[in-house]
Amino acid sequence: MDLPALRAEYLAERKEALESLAVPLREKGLNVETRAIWGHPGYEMIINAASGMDLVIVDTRRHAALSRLFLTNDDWQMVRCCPVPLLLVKEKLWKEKPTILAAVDPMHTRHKPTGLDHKILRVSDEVAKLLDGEVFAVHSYSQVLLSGAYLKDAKTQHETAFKELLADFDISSSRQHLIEEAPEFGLQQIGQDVTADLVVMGGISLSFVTDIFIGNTTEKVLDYIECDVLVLKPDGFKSPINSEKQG
Amino acid sequence: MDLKQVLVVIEPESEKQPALENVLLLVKYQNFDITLISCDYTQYLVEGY
Repeated sequence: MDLPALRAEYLAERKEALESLAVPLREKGLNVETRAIWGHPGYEMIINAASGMDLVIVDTRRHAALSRLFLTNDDWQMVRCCPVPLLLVKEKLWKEKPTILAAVDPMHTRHKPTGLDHKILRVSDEVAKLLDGEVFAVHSYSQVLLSGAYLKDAKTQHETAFKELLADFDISSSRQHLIEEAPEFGLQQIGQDVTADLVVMGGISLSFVTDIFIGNTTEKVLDYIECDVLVLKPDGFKSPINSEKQG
Repeated sequence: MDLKQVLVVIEPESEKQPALENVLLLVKYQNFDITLISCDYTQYLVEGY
């Protein structure tokens, strides 16, 4: 059996399918290229192909019983490793004037790098201006129980940090939400309350070991969120994907 | 966001293409080049399987 020829034939069919999707876009005057590539694991191939791109958009699969995002292993790896802004989309279209939720963590309770919150707010503002939408800022946190009691001033600290962060941005107090709740539940609730079309959030992985034992906040949040999500990495983020491995 | 190049990951056989819908929304407001990409792999077409 001539496997290389079969692979080439298979990819030619995929390329043809992509071209059929590209035709109506080109008819609208858009500059569209198509690439059907072969390789494993898929997320590494896509991340390498994303070099030089400004945005990667990925469909998330629907789960019949859930309205939440339903991510495959490749999607999770993209969230962790893609250095380019990553937009995870569902089938629901945005409102004409979309509501954008900027999810920040000014206390850096999980070691978010300095500057990522500013980037989240700045990009949220840019998207809102581009689409004539509206930005809400949300910081959702859960208290840590120490010796059977919560820290008395923890709430004040979160409030202060949130206000200091937002001082640099034009977001009215009615669109600022500080929620004492685990981020995954707090974001889910506020997303429903303001009928968010897009959540903008940071996506970093501390380490493989940390992820296994305490989990990754971003991934927990993604598991509960019901709208599209734009995942940003801090400036200078180095993807663990080694592009030299790819052919 | 200053978008010049956008990569859209496509599952060509899917009936719906929400990522494309999203691109069409964004490109109404900002012009950028689009690359549609699919990535495949099956062990049945690999030597030694």
